[in-house]
Amino acid sequence: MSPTFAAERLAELRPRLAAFLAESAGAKHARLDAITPITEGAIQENWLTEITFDGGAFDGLQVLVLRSDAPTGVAASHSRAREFALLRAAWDADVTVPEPLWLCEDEAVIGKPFFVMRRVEGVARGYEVVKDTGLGGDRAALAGRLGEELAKIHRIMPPRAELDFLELPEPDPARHAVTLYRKYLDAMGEPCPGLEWGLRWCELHAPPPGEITLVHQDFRSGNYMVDARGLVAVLDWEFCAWGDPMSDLGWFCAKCWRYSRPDLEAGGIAPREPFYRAYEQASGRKVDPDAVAFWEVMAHLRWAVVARQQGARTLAGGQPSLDLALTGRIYPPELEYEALKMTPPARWRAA
Amino acid sequence: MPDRPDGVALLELARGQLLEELLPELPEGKRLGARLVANAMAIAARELKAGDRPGRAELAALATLYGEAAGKDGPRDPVERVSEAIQRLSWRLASEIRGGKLDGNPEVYDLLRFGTESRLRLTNPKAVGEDDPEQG
Repeated sequence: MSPTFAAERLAELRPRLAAFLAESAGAKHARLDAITPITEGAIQENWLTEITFDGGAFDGLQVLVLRSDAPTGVAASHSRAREFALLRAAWDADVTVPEPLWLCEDEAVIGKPFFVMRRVEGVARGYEVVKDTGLGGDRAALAGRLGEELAKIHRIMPPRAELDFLELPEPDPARHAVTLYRKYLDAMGEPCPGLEWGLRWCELHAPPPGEITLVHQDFRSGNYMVDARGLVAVLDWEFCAWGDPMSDLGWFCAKCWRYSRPDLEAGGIAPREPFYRAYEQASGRKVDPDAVAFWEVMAHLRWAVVARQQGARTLAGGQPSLDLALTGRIYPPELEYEALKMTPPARWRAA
Repeated sequence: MPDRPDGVALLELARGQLLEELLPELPEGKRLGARLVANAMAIAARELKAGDRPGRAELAALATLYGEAAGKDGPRDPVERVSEAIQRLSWRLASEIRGGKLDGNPEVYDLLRFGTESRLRLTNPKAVGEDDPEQG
C-alpha cells in the first residue's frame, strides 16, 4: 500500500484543507485533528478525518470521510465531482447514503478533487456480510429493505440538470451494453472468444427496451453497509447511468455476487421473493424475470470485462498491484465459465 | 532439466512456509496480503507443473475446429510458437462469434467450455470440481 498522500505532504496540506473545511462549514476556524487512510480502493481513496469546528452549524468535533481519486482510474468510473452529484441526488431521493457535504474541485487544496461526507459505520465486505448472519438483522427484511432502496434509486428519471454529465439515455440499454463491452474488449487487444459467445447471446436475446431510469450499476452485496440491526448505507455510486431498471436487479442477484451462499439468490442473503416483492411494492413496477435473467448473464460478462481491465492496469505500466493482477487473472475464467453455463446451445433461439 | 529442487518444488516449499510459519506471526491487517501472495505462488506452481500441455491442448482444439493440420504436434508453421498460433485462431474464432457465424454452435460451445475449464484448472481447480493439492 502506498498512500498517495505521502506523510510528509500532510503537514503541508493540513492548513489549506482546514481552511477549506472551515469555509465550507461556515465556521470561524477548523482544526484537522487526524487524517488516516481507511481503504485504498481500486478506483478511489477514502480518508477518515477528525475535525474540530469553531462556530457554524458543525460546531464541535466532527468525524467525516474525505474521498479522492486513486492514482489511476478504470474506464466508466466517474470523477469525484460527478460522484458527489450522484450522492446528492440519491440523498434527495431518500436513499440511505452517507450525507454528502462539500465538494472541492480546486486542486490547490490537496492536489486532486475530493469531497467530504458524513461517516457511516458498519461492515460492507461482501463475503463477511453474506457469511456472518449476525450482521444486517433479519435477512429477509434486509433483502426487502434493499429492494425498497433500489426502487427509490429507480424513481430518479432523466432528464436531470444536475446529472447532465451522464451520457444521454440509450433507447436500448441492453444492446448498448453489448456494443460497449465489445469496445472495451477491443481496446485491450486480447481475443476473448468465451466472452464474445456471451455477448453475442446477449445481442440476440436482449429484452425489448422499456422504461429508462437511473441505475446504480454496482448494487450488490459488498457495496452496501450493514450493522447488527440492518442497512446503514448504499455505497459506490461511481458507475451510475441511465438504463434499464431490471439491470440492477440482475446485477444484485447474479451468482457471482452471492459469495459463499449461491443458494440464496438475492445477493447471497435471502431468496429472491422478499427482494422482488418489496421492490414491486415500492416502485409500482413489475419485476420481469426474463429480463432479470438476461441481465444476470450480462452481469458476469460485465464483471469479467472490468476484471480484465483491472488486471491490464498492472501490466500497462500503471500501479504494480498483486491484488489487481490476481483480479485480472482469477475472476475472468470463473465468470466466463458461469456465463457459458447460462448460455448453452439449447438456450439460443433460432436466429 | 533444471537442477533439483526445481521451481515447482521451491514454490511449494516457499508457500508452505509462508502460510504455516510466517502468516500466523503477521498482524491482522497484513494477512490478506500474505494470502494473495500465497495464491499467486499456487497459480505459478500449477502453471509451471502443467508446462505447455494446456496450450497445446487448446491449440489442438482450435486447429480441429478450423481443419488445420497442426493439431497435437504444434503450430502449422515451424516458426510460429504455440501461443502465437492460439492467438491467431482465437482472434478468428472471436471475430466469427461476434459476426454471428457460429450462433449456438455446439462444437464451438464445447471448445469454449473446454478452454475455460483448462484455464480454471490453473487458477481455481475447485471451480471445475477438482481437488487442489496446492491448497492442501
